[in-house]
Amino acid sequence: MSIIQVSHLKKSFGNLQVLKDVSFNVEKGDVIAILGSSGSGKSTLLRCLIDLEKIDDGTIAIDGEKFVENGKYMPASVVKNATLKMGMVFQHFNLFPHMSVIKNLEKPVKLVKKDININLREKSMALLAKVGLADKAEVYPDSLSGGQKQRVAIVRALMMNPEIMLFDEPTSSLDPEITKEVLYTMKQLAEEKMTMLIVTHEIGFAKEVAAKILFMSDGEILESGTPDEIFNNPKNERTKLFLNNSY
Amino acid sequence: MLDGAKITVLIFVVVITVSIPLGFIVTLLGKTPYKPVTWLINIYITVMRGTPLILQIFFVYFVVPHIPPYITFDRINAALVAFILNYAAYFAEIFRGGLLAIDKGQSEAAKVLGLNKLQTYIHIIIPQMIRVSLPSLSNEAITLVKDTSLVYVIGVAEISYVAKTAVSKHVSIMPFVMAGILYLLLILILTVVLRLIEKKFRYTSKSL
Ligand SMILES: Nc1ncnc2c1ncn2[C@@H]1O[C@H](COP(=O)(O)OP(=O)(O)OP(=O)(O)O)[C@@H](O)[C@H]1O
Ligand SMILES: [Mg+2]
Repeated sequence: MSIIQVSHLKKSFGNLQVLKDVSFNVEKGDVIAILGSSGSGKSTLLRCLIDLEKIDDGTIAIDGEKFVENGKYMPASVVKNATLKMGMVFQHFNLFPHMSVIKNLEKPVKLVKKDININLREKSMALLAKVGLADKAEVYPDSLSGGQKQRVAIVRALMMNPEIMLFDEPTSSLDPEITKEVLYTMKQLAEEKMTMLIVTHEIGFAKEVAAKILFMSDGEILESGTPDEIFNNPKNERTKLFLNNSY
Repeated sequence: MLDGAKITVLIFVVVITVSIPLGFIVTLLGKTPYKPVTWLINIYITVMRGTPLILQIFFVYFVVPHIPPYITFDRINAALVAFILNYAAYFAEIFRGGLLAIDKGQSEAAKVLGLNKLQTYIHIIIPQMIRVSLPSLSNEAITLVKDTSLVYVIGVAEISYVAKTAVSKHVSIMPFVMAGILYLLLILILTVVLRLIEKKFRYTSKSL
């Protein structure tokens, strides 16, 4: 069974239909890169999956659990239970500026998980060490570089033990040099078989890490396939055009 | 004169401790989706900010007792009620601005981590709102110390009132000088306290 099942998803903002009948499945452990031009609906798609936007029609099931069916949402507890299986990383990090790094990581866990039977500090420190930031536990986000902030944001999402990670242009506001650190962390996650959906403009990274590419255009998934299929053999003219412009 | 200072401090402390939370409640009410509530809040804020405080003090002391439900206040309570209503309106506006200054990404991050609305407000939004609002809050607090002198118009014996009485009685201007020094002292102390509070809310790394 696919860990994410989306069928006939439709979403409009006012008169603007941003997602037009989007359907796709994601298998557990797969890394999916979502490409497409600006305004094609990539961010909106991720935001709908994690309930930051309400969809108008369609069905979304996470780990077999439908939290919205034919545009009708299940009770709040069901929605929350499903969306909590996902973590999300934003372009602008959205770390909590009034909390130290360690508190950014631990406070949400303490608030959300009722029974913390593990040693929280051990876990947060181990994850920080993994992304090379063990020495930054006590500092505040304002003294971190963009790449460091984003790695903290990734760890903060991982603290909740998600089964799926959503990334919305995680490196788009970073310098090319610093982008590497974040991509490295994401690659590590991919190797550990984390299911990941990544909206990115890093074509090279998508090619290397993704099992499957979704190419979006104008609110639709125009084409999907392995990197090889998409990059070396795009069927659609618009995909070709986009890829040519991206190199 | 020291008795006057006690009254001044009393008014300040009561007004600050009541009008800040009240102001925040007004901010929240102003954000409800119920139109009649937000209209009422808007009217309240417009009236409070659009008319002189001295007139509001007169209104509470002289007018309110004559209109239903005929509530009478003694001098000090009338002063407190007028000040609290007035300052709550200003604080509400400051908090509204503070909330607007917080990036929408903050509540979105909280939501995807599983925090509910209340937790998001308490742990994420309010601390940042306070930090953003503190400089304006400090200004208002200092203005309040000086504004307390307005209550002499209804005969509350705070510093200015006591000074004026003493000036007439002893035919000396010294009480005015002393009153000035007292205000300065109070504001100095307040400034130090506010600095400490601002420091506590400044979240930059202490070490490294
Ligand atoms: N909250 C909103 N209200 C109104 N329109 C919106 C809103 N969010 C997005 N849109 C519109 O929906 C369309 C798709 O936006 P979306 O952010 O999903 O695109 P995107 O593919 O992520 O683009 P980019 O690569 O620039 O991030 C755009 O036309 C955008 O202007
Ligand atoms: Mg986007």
